[in-house]
Amino acid sequence: MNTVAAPTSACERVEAIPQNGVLLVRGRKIIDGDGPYLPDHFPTITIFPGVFILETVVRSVAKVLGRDALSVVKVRSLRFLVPLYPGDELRFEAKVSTDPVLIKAICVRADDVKVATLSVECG
Amino acid sequence: MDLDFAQLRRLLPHGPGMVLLDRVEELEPETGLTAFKTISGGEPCYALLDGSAGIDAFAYPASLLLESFGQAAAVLWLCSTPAAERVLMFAGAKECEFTGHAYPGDTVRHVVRLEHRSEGAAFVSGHTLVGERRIASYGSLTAVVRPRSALPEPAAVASITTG
Repeated sequence: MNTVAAPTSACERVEAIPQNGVLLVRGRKIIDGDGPYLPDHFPTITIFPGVFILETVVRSVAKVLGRDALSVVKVRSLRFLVPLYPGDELRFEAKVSTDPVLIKAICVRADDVKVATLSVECG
Repeated sequence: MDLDFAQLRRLLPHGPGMVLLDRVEELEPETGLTAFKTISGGEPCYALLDGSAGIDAFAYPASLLLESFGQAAAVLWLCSTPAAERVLMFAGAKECEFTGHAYPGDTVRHVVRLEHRSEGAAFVSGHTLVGERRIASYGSLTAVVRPRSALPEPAAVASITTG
């Protein structure tokens, strides 16, 4: 069960390593085309919505911080570069500082093609 | 110009579960629009919440609010360009602030302004309100133009643009 509303899940595998005063967080997730929203995005070509990449990273960081949830309060920047399809693996590496939580992440596919970058503040 | 839900379904390439708008009002091509979405407790994002969850757990996710605003921006672009063989894809966002929440039963109102449109991209800004309370501001959203063949065949844009 979830503790907050969410359109997609955190990464199944997430690890965190303290590094130079910030937390280095890495996560991996296989895109599942059967999620509740994905069959309609789009009906004949399923594409993982870009905003779900943001949701996946934020939920994964909440998980390693031991928080029920993190609420996005500001998107400083968000770039979607190439689409993700069911079966693709989403990998991200994020530098996370706390108080307030600031996440700067680079997201790639399993073949290291960059799919998204994001910088967000959370409460 | 106003658009009802049936017109939005025909205009957007999304399936019904991913159309995050209910209606559009005051659409002025090349300028802006106001779009509405009423949040339902039956939406999939709430499906995995425990029955004992308090109302705070039902805050509508910022990611879906951003997607909903982006769809409103797509509607504005689709009604501002005759290029029906192309579609707009969400490419990025900058300086977006989420200062409040919306909950099941709330109707969110997106106010979208087209800042700039070129051959290959569109830039919009705006904000989202619940009643008179502003819950989000969007400094800039960018969308890029792609061939319509990159997506499933949507229904006729022409029927919308001609009213």
